[in-house]
Amino acid sequence: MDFFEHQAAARKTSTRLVVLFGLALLGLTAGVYGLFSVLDMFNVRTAGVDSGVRFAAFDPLRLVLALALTGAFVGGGSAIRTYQLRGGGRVVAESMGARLISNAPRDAAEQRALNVVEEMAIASGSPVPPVYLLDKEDGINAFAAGYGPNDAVIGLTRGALESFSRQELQGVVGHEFSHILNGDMRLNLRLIGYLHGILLMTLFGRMLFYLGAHSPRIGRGRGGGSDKGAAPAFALGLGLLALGSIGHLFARLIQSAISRQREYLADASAVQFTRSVDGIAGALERLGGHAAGSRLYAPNAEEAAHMMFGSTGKWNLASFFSTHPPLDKRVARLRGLSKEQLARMGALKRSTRTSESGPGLALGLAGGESGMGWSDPEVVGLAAGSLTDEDVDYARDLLERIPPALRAAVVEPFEARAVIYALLLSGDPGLRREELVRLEAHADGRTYTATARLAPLTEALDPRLRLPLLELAARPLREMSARQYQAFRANLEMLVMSDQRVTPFEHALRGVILCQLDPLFGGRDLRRLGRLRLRDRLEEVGVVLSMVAHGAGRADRALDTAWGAGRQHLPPGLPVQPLDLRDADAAFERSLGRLWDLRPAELRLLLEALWLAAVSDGEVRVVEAELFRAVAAALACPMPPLLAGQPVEAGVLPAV
Amino acid sequence: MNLWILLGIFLAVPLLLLMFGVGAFNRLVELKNRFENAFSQIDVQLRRRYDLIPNLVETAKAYMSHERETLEAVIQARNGAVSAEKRAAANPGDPAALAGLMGAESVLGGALGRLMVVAEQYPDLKANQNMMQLSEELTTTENKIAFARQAYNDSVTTYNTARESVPTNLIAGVFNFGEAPLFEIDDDAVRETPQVSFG
Repeated sequence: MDFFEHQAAARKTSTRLVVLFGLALLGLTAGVYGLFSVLDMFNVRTAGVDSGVRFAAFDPLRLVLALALTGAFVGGGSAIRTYQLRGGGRVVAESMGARLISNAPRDAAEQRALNVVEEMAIASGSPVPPVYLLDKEDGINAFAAGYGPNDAVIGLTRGALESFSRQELQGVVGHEFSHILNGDMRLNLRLIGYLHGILLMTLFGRMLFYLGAHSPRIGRGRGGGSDKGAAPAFALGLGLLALGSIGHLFARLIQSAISRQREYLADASAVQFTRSVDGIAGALERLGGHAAGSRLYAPNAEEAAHMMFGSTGKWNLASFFSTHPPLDKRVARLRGLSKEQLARMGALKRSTRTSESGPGLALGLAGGESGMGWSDPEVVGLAAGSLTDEDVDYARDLLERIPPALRAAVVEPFEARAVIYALLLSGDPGLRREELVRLEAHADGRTYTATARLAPLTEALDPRLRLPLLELAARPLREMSARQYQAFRANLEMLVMSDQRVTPFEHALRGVILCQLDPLFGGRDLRRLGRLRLRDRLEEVGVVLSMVAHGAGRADRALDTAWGAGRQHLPPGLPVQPLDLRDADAAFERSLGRLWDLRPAELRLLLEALWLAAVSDGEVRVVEAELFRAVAAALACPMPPLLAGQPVEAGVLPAV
Repeated sequence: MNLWILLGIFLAVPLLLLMFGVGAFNRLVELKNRFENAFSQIDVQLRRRYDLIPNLVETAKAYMSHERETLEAVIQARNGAVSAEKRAAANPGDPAALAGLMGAESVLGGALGRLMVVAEQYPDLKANQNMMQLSEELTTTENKIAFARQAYNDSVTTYNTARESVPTNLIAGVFNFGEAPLFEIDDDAVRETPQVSFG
């Protein structure tokens, strides 16, 4: 099997396993129904023949009760788990005693880790996750925790920081990003929630069993008229205890098997993201040779075991319950890649989309709502499958060119806010002065001073660096309190609207902030499943595509080529010529607002069409990159970003 | 049918109680985590400031050797603040530790303020490149501290409100969720220090 077949196989296997998990839950329900039937039969018999009560093999009420009981426990367990993780990945990281290093890296090793994470985030078009360090852990390990890209965090142990080379660290971070982008955390959260529910059911059964067994009436002799309550409770408890135990065993076996498949998948994705086997395989080999291995000592490490890079150590002996495949097997799969296969990767990466139906389907089955943008198979496929080493290198290059003073400013919220304000200041000196005056009045003096200090830097900034800088600034902004965020949003709106028009960059900025931060501060979570198709919104699609096609002043042939490239990718019905946009900014904004309700698969089509239009002349302009980011962010799709100045091939889509 | 009703009640009541309890408990944990995290943001900046002060004093020493007392007072206040900060960082949410830190901080603020007033009389010092840069950094750090402190106080308020409201207070009482202290510094003393301009 070659590498991409491995990847496809891992996806397929985990889909099957999730189906199996669902069947196990159904089996559990059937078991509970059977248990109720037995109890009913017992009831009918003790009531006597003359009571007129008959036993029926199928009783709708009994079925409803069986469903309700299983549902209450499994659903309740899942709800409790979900609730616990509501605070996002940071809660998991902090409960393990990890320290946030994003704000204040203390040494070169920490800084290097932050750089690697930032590069990977920029290159994959996902928010920059906060990075946590497990200071006291000498074992080599890493984890990703959280619910989705917006609240994900990445954690590394001190051992990992110190033993890995940069390349290996990149491989490991790529592995964790795969967990984030593939929706593994959400899937695992669900499965573990159900497991938790089954466990609760077992405990409840045990409680009933004891209550029944210790009831004084039972001691006085069975079959008496008054122990009607105790004996069935005893029997029901015993039954639930047995069913729950068996169910838990099976469910946990399946859950571990799924987890192992996702590890293979993440290993494979790490290679794809970094285009290097040596990184991830080297990291795994180092882990095998390390004295402390991947063992963790933090009391809550088990919580995040499924998200770890290597197993946390406790389950190593029982390989069936292990959340991670054995190291040698993982390395063998990676190292088994022949030279020829590696050489083919460039070509092969375009064909991976055929095998992308795994995770989304799996998620849809496991939980009611697979509606989050990135858990959609197609969207995830495009994002995860197309990140390449060129992307990562280009992202790294961009980040290195951001002036140090600005990079230093975007590590904590106070100045990151000022950077955002400074980025929004108008180029026109008069208007700029007016904006600063308003900022001084609405924000406080300190914010004004910081903004004024940073403004010359952002003004002189290469426009291609604006978007990456924005992505970096969004991370520390999460540290604000709700009240501070409200003030920030108000000022943001003021600066965007001060010149009565919204530029592509302002669209992108607003989109990124809205999409990444609003949900954290109680705003509407925009990641949801739309129902509309592109043909229902042709007018808006036309406007957005026209904007991108016009790009930075394309005209005549070039304009027609760009328009045509996008148009032929979309359903029929768009005019032959691009729209002549009079009030382009307003039309763009209105259209963006009306594209929310598209289905994820249709969104992907639209983004692909925009991509094709943008790269139709083999060049990515700043304005195109910003429009593209605006659409992707506003529609909450993680997309490999079009980075301005990036080398692209005309007519070629990523991962298609 | 009696059995089923009994079972239903037996099942539903404890389950509901349990779910409520777990929910309230989790919310308290989450809010507590949040304000502790907010405190660590202040902590990061405080440490940065404590690292800056010795450099500042070192630079000032060369110009104002007659003001040994003032300089020593700053160093002493700084050392006091460092140990108070360590104590507070070790037990975030502990009112006594935080009160200690607040006290130490206002002593430090006062000492720095006096240093800056005295420094006004030394034009050479004011013109020193190193000094200008250090005091600029000090100002920036002060601003960051103020912002982080505001975020901390906001999240402490949210936590305290949740802790005191019915019925969450029952859970808070059982599991010992204590009241979290606000971080208030005698703002004027602190604010004065960085505002002195060396321009």
